[in-house]
Amino acid sequence: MVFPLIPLGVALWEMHKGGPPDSFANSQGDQSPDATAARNRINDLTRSNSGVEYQPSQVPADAYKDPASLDRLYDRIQKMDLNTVTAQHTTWESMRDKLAQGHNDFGPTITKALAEKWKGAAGEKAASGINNYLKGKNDLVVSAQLVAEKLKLTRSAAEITKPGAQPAPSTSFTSNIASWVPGRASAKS
Amino acid sequence: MATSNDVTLWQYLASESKAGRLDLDPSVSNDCMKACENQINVYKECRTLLTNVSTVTGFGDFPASDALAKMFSTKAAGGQGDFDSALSNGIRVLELIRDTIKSSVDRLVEHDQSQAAAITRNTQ
Repeated sequence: MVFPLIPLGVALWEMHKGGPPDSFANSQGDQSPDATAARNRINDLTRSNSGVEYQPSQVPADAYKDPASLDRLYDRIQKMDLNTVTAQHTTWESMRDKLAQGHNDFGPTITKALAEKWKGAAGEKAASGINNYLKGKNDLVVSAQLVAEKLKLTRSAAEITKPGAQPAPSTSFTSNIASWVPGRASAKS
Repeated sequence: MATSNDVTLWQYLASESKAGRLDLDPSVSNDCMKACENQINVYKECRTLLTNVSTVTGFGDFPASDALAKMFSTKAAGGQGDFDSALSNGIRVLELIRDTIKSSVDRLVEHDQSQAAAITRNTQ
């Protein structure tokens, strides 16, 4: 049951780093098309110098546990709810699209309010205020895109991990031996 | 993203416009005011969407996934640099820009109405 956890572990580690994944993660982690696209997109966004401020990891290092040391591993994995994770991912994508569309509509219209279109001593300030506001408007779109891509990584990891996990067999070593005795296996069932 | 400096600036500009000391050309003022209204609505709709992702679950029962879910939750609302606050500040600034422009539009409408009334009086 350790192997299905690798994609989740890698996804969590990428969140932990808060930056682009390293070559180890790329070679060992979730190589599905969705996860690869999400990683590439995160790399592009973080290299784009968009002006977005990055925060340090919000997941403390001591939150990472060796799965082998955890009890009830199968039950823990079954707590993953793929429908909920998918809904959260698509909500962030919807918000990113809505913000991008809104800014595409707003920018060209509001820039009609150039300095020469204002009358009054504060006209220059009004025009430069609009320019400054527009400079930062894309930050929200980039931030929403980053959150959506990180949720896509988490979603992809959960989609691989949950179906891959199998419940522990209910038989023990001694009951297995007992089942080898002719007649015992059928009696057990 | 909108900052407190933006709010301070546009509060000043809105007061200048309201006092009649700042006007936007009528050829663009209506379009700009409408654009502000539309953008305010976009941000309000996004804040509504945020309510669906401000409590994140479904990542499994692991200490790291719990911390990750909390990170996503607080990114939506309630954490440092969260979207809800950014959108709220954006709405505040857009409302001030709209109010600044609206004063110009209102004066223009008032002027047009008084001109129309004067013409009516003169033609009677």
